[in-house]
Amino acid sequence: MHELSLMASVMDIANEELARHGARRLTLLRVRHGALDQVQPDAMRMAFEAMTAGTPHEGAILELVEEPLRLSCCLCGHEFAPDGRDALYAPCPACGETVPFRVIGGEGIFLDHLEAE
Amino acid sequence: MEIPVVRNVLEANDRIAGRLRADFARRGVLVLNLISSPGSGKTSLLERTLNDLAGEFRMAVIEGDLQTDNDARRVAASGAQAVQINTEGGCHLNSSMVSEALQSIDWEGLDALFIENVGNLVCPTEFDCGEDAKIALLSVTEGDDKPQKYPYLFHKAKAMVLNKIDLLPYVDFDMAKARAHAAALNADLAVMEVSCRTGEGLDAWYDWLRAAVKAKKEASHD
Repeated sequence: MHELSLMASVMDIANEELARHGARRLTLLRVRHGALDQVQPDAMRMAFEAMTAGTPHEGAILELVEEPLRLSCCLCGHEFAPDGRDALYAPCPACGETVPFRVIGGEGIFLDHLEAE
Repeated sequence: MEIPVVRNVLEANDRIAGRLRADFARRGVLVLNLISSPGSGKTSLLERTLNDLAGEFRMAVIEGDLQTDNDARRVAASGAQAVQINTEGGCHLNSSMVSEALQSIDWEGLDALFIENVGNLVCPTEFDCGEDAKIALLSVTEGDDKPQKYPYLFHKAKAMVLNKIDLLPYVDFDMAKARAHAAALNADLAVMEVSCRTGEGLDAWYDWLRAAVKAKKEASHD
């Protein structure tokens, strides 16, 4: 449900960028969200539709890209992208030890591309 | 027209949180953000802590709830300052709500401030409130797979407090599994097993808290 707050922040940033570039209407927004961030795409789309309805941005495309989790073994430093959650609790695929992993990707929510007219 | 941007969606929240963090550092006040499901014992842990350490520290609480000031009244009974935030349906506290609540805090001699977030394992994790640490509270009645289902909180927290251990004989809670899953993405996670009802294990939590208060004070004097 925090998607509503996230989308409100996305729109604040987008409106600021539009003003800075002298554009009026958004046609496309791309948001990248980390796999760890628990962002629900459906809830994001619903919030986006609700917030843009009746505004010049109505009908703009919202692209949501999930950034996959990337881990590094705390023991041997091996870096990999796990296939699914179970890998988190499995031994390191390189050294075979069961130790915690460091998260090196798949965290954070960014607005990284806008198209406007 | 294409507008290439890379901007953190949470930048407005994080900016205010950064200001709060600088203010907390200057004052040398430890700030902990308590996050858990509803009913796992955040308020009970605070009631215990505020009463048991009343002679040692001056503490205050910001209570976040959708409705009611029940929790603020509960913790205020200990004599500590309590400020209630009602989010009116909002599923998490953010830095601007905390900043506003801080207006009502008397900072004189304050050692620690607890932010009791809205009961929810997902949303509060995303919103930095300027705290030194997030504390994940999990009770054994909720099931041992919570760290596996909600890895982000356990990844971001500095400590996990496992509450209601007095009920362990009556529930199928695999302590080793919960600990292993919580630690998988967080090598530095401190884990404490407690019962707020019987008081068992609370000494370890208090020792953790004492060390954190001390470290915060020392850092503010540097």
